[in-house]
Amino acid sequence: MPSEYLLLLLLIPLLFSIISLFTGKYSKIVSSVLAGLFIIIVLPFLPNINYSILNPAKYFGISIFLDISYLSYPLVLLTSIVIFFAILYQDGKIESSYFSYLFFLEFSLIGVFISQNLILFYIFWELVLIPSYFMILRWGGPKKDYTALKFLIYTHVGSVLMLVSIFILGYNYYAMTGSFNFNISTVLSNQYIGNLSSLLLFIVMMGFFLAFFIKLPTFPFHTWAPDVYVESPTTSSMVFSGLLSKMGAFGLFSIFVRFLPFSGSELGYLLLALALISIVYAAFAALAQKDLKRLIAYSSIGHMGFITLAISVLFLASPLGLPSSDAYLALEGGMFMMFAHGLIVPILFGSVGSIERSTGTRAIRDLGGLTKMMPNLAFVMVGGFLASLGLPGMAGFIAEFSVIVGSWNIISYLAFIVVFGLVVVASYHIWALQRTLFGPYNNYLGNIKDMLPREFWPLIILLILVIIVGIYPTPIYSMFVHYAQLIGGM
Amino acid sequence: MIPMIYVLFISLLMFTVGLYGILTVKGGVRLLISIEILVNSANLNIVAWATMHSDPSGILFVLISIAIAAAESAVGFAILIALYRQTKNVGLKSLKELRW
Amino acid sequence: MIQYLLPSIVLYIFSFLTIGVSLISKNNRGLFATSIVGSVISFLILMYNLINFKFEQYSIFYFDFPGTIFAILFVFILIFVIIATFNFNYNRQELLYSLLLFSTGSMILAAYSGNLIAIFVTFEAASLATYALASYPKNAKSLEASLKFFVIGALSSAFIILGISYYYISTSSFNIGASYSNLQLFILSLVLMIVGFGFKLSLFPFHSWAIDTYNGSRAPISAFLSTASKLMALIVMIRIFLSTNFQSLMVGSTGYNYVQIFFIIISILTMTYGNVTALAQKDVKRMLAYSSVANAGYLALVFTVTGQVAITLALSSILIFSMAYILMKGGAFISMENLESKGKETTLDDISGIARKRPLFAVSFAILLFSLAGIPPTIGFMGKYFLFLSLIESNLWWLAIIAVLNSAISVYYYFRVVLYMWKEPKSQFSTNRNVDFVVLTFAVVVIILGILTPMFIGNLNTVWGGLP
Repeated sequence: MPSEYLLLLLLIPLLFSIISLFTGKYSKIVSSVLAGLFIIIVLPFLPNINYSILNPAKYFGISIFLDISYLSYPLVLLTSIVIFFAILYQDGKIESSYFSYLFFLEFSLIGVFISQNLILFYIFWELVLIPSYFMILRWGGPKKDYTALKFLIYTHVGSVLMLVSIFILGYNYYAMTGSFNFNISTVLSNQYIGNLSSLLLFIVMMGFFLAFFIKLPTFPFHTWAPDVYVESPTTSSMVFSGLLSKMGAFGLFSIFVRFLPFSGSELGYLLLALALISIVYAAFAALAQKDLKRLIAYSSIGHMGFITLAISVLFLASPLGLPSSDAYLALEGGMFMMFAHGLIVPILFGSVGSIERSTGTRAIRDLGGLTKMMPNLAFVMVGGFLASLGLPGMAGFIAEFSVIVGSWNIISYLAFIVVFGLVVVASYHIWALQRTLFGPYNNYLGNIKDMLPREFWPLIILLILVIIVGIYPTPIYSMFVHYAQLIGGM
Repeated sequence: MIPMIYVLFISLLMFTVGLYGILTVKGGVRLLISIEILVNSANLNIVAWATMHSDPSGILFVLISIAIAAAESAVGFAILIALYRQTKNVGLKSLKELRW
Repeated sequence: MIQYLLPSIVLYIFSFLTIGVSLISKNNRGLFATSIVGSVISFLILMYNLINFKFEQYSIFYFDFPGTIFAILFVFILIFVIIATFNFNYNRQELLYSLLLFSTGSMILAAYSGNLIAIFVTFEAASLATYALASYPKNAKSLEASLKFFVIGALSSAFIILGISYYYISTSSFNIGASYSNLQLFILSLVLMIVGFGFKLSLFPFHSWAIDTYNGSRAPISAFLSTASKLMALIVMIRIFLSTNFQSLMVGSTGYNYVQIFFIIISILTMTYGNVTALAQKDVKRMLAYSSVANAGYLALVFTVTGQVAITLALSSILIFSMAYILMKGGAFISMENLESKGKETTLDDISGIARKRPLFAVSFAILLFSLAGIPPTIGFMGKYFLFLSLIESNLWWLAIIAVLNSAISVYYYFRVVLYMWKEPKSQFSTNRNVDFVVLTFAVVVIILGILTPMFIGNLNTVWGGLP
């Protein structure tokens, strides 16, 4: 397949974004058809085809260099799937511009995942901010102004620091060759990174580190995430938590790992500390939440901690830049966590959204015994929560299991902290289920209706997907295995 | 012939006087006079050098500069008069609409 | 030669013609039509010149490509400022148009000047007209702004002419690039000219007039002053300070030259000061004024590069950045006219909720703010990108980092405006159709140019042949 076709992956969502603006009251039907169509378009872009540079490096280092790697294919697929189900879930009465923003978000996310030029990557990375900012500002909750600005400042500061790193890398390449080039495979190859002085290398790594870990989000930089997930309407929360955090993870696996041969074990221990704190902190913070949506937001942060853990294991267990077999396992698990979490977390946010719509509240205290009135919801929500706490047979289990087994030999007894965190995670999941779905019905809620079909079916299909991926992970998992081998050979 | 260094010194003195005037005077008209002194200090430099080396371009520049300074004062007076119509005052103390 | 002088001549003729027309026609429509026709004719001639470009050099004029680009930018902003002033209703409004046209005509000549006499004359002619322009709408606030502008402008021209006098004494010539015989006086003239032109470009210690003037004048006039007048100072400074004699003025054996050192300090201070003080502003127009100070800091970065290759890239990127600047800053200031013409203030509260009532205007204004904040894919991002790249090319990566971090600060106050625009509306809004048209056009051009820039930046590289 000629590489020009890759441009289709970008242009089609952009076109959809314009089309959906003018669909008026049919906007939901049209958008869901378009989004479904796009999944079919994405499927044949398998990563084993050799794509070439679309536009060789001229124009001072900006080239339209797209490639779909073993890492980006699952993420592009995930993006199209999550957007599709989010649109299906969304109430059709909303303005058509909402769907336009969703498609624009899809466009910029896919751009992040497939661009192989740092400047192009940065452009798409920044473009993601614009639709998300307006989606929060336009359809957010009562604290939307504060949240939108907080989100923007946090992530923009991260990305600007990344731009600094990109400039230093460009400077380094320029100093060595006398021309400009920002292609990831060139400026981030060992030959050129090795030429950086230790101070510059530190600055470059810090820039990427902050950009990716703010977006992920990891412990000290996480505070924007609960606010954004809670203040957004349900559909936006599904998309933000399912996809935005994957940008950070993608950056870690595609760019940050290239510093592997040049980092000491100090970085690995720093990452390990961040990962452990994230997992345990998020678990306890979730335990303390009174708002069901906020609880899910913290559980999402905890899951992202596993990705940090995988990266830290990679940095700890790679003497001379060659990952050991444990590191490979953890790495594959971390990457699989991206995919699994992207499928699971929309179910959680979707079911909470349904509860909020029918009962008018998200406070755990006010809920109780919803099974009686909302059996469909109970089914979906139990499924989602079990997937989220890592029940074997579901997608999340494979990811967590691989990461923990991979890290076992390397971090030895510290792995017990992770397991302890998992126990807390399981307990608050079960506790939340018990408080909301089971027990005596809270009569104060009155006579409430069950999930609507538009809410039930997307979530149940997502749940089925989670189970399918959990039982037969090979197609996706093998891609990550391929990619992990590539990292070893870099 | 007067050495150039004296001219430079005098012109610098004039410039200082003009600068002092701009920074301290309270009346609008005195301000314009200070600006004239400033411009003429530079003219003095140029005209002295031009006559020493009998270079016509310097003289030309001074002529043009004098004309421009005249136009500048005209604009300045126009603004002052417009201000006077508004505030009945050409003092600079009355200017406090725009503050940081 | 005549084809390059023709645009200014046309503008001068129409500048007097507007006064004549005002004697015949009673309403402003005739004035409006006359000035638009004049500027459009001038614009078309300039476009013709650009397409059939041929470099010509005379003793006092360099008719080169960058000069033509800057001239096009001046006339471009002039046309849209005139469109935005259509709903003005002043006594003797013909003077406004006459001054605008006259000032732009002089600016075009200033962009082509290659000799200190020509630069001084054209520069002063353009400036004198802008002092009078700043006095609109002739209330106490704008007159005060105008007087401050005049005093500071006169002071700056005194500095410039003193600098020119020392330049003349040390080189015995008014030509740019002449070799000097007296080093001390030459350095003194450099310092004085930096101060004088620094006032015009509103660089840090000399910026305070800019805030008051841009804030006090009517919005389209502020747009004209903050873009065209500033860029005129920029092109003149480029011709003077990047010429061979100033560039060869090295400080001992440090590897830096005087121009570079002065401007590194000044641009860092200007960027930081402008951005930090803009954070505290509650008034959108005042915030824009501070951010234009910050942008002057970015513009001054062009003087910090050295080396033939880096200067070439810096010059072509400054062309891009100037285009970006004139579009986004001009557009942003003209947007304020929508509030001012309805007798509103321009604070954040006044603009709050405008997106719900006037979505098209709000979206276009937001695009301009994105461009100012340097968010891709607008031309604001491209301008900054190439500018910072040229810093990297001359080994100033740390300066590029400072500039990038500064640009990160600016995001806060630009997006705060966007945030207020998307709040719940408190009051009714009505906008002017012509202002909306201008802002929308600018927003569209900002995006189109932003996407196209990488394709023509390579061609711009070869065109700076005219630097002495």
